[in-house]
Amino acid sequence: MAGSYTKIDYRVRPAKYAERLMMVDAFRRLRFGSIESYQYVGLGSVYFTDFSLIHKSLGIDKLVSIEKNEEDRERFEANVPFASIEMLWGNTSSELQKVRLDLRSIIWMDYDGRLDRSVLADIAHIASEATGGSVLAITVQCRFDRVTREDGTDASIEALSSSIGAERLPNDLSTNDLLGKGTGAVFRKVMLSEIENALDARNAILPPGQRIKYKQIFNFRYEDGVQMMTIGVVFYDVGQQVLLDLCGFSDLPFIRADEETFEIGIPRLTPLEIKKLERQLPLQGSTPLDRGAIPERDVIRYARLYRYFPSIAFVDS
Amino acid sequence: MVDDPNGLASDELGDDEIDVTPTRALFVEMLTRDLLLNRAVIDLVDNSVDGAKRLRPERDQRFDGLEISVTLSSDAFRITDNCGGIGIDLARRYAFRFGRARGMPATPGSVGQFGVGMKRALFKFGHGFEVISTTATDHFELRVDVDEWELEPGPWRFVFDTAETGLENPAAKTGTRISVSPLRADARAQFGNPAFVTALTREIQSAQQQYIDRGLLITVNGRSLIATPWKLIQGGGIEPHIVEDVLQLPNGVVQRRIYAGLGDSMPQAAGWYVFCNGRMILEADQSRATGWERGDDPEGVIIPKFHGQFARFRGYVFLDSDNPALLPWNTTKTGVDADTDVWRNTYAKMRSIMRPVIDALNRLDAEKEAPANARAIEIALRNSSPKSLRSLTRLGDFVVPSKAPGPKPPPWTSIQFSRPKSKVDQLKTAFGASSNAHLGELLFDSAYDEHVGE
Repeated sequence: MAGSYTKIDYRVRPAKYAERLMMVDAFRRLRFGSIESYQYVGLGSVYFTDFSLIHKSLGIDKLVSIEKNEEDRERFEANVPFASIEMLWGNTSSELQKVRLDLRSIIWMDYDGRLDRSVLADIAHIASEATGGSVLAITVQCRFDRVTREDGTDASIEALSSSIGAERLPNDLSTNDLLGKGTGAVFRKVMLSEIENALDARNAILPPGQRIKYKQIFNFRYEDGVQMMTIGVVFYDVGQQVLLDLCGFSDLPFIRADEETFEIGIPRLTPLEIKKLERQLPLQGSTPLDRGAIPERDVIRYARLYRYFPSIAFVDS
Repeated sequence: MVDDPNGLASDELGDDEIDVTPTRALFVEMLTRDLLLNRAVIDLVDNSVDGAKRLRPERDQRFDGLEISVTLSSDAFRITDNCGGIGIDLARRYAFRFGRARGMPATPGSVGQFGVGMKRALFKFGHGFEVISTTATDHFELRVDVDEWELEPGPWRFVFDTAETGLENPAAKTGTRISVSPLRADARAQFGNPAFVTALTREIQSAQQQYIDRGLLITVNGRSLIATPWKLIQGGGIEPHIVEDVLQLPNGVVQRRIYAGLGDSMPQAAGWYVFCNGRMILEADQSRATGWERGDDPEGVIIPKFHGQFARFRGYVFLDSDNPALLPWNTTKTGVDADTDVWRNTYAKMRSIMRPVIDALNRLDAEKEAPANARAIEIALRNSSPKSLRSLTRLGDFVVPSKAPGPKPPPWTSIQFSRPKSKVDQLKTAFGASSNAHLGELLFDSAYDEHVGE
């Protein structure tokens, strides 16, 4: 597959933009060590948008980007925004092995495609190696993908089984379970169980007091043209429970530790409407917002997201 | 009620008691039922190898001068070694006991850990056996007629024909000789079958590769087995993955070494090899047991189901421990016990480690579509050679040359068609082409120049 960077300008995906800012807000709360000492590992594409944000707002210098489009190397290298970005060229399956996961890391595997065996193997590798205090976020497409046989009958479950492995899916899974938000819910379970299996294998040889656990912190859903999901987890060893508690992730309104999702719905507002709403935010107790003629749905969305809402202006010269 | 020769006399039994003592015949039958003859022979060789390890316990110590000889025919089975012998105490407390008595220490790093191998093999093979063993201080001889023993009443026991201790035997005289005859029907048929002997020879050679390589001489029917040391390709920008670590477990320590990389393109030799205390328990495994997934989608980089293009994959796992119970082998040492902690952890590591190798092999496969000078891995393979694992010392990740930077070269494709041979030969002569392929290239280039141009 050609890199999606040739088709989409990453900067104008508003939900993704909001997601990035929320994630950074959460990373800022990490208490396992100074945030500047973390390593950031991502799939930077040519825009390196996440790298800019992570470097500038968190002060993280050690940055690693994995890029499979080796033949376009010149273009990527011309776009590397900071001197401290290390480029690894090749598939994640080969390059992740070269990343030092014994360093406390924030790893954002922001894939273009759907969940498949390769993504799961990446997840398993990271969960097997990531040191306590590390964060792993995985972004994949989660649209329901209906597949039919030649005679028109439904083969969606078979197609899913062949792409991620029948053994990873519940025996009683039916196509209805995949409709709407169902695919995302199934993907989340599959990803988490991949993490659990990897941790089980890892912990098998560790003394009980040093075993590695994980806690889910992100369960985002959003749509910039296609339905996407991001699952995020923090790895910690049993002895770091107190540090995890100190992070106080649950104080952030978008943190989701279970199957409940946080939907990043982008309100459609004019600049004037934005000004009107922002003057009344943050919400003062239960005082309702004076929304004027703005649709209620957009008001609710904006009140939830306004700190992370992108202000985009196209400048025609 | 008839008194069972094996059980209690009916007058020894209380009114509220039932005699549940198994008959000896049942025990022999149960013990040997699922055992394959070849595995039983290999078990006996394992015992001799353990003797060699007791004599020379240092890790990687040479075994020159030690010898195990196996002779089998339709008449008899015999295994002889000069590997230190079995002491009378060891014989009484372990070698002839069924199951390892609690508190009985194992041979550090041993292969025979279940305390059933030898007896099981002897019962499996024949109606009678003889064990003669000499250590530095002891000598014993033991002959058992199994058919008679099965009928004997009372406590279960074997009786030494000779048992001397406090001797001063020269080291050269120490060793064990085990003979079995007459053979049972299936052993008689198989041991006399040349195909069985050939297959068995190969299995022993594979299983004991490590020790043969260290100088242990093993012969089967007089033929000595040779070591073909395990190899991985290195050089030309290719480096195998080599990792060594130590697993600290509550009951001891397991030393782990994992090697993975490329080998010669041989489908039947490709896969994972797993060794426990030097003994190979999985050979060229290409199944789910070692991480090959069943998937019909070649897209992306997964650990695919084993497939022709992976005929160059080689992986070697060595697990060594002074406490053999920590190692993930099954009782017959023909496979792994997937539920053990050590295996679950090792399996996850193997899956991670094999991914870059699979990735490289997928790239190698894709290079067929690329112009000759853009085939980075193929070129590297030409400048590399298989090296024995012992000579590979660089610890680290798998390395292959990365794709050449620069614009993606246009894909290549091949053309194939048939024409009458006589016409092809005429045209070949007319063009001075050296082969059909060469003729095709000449014709294509000339047609391209004429109709498409540069």
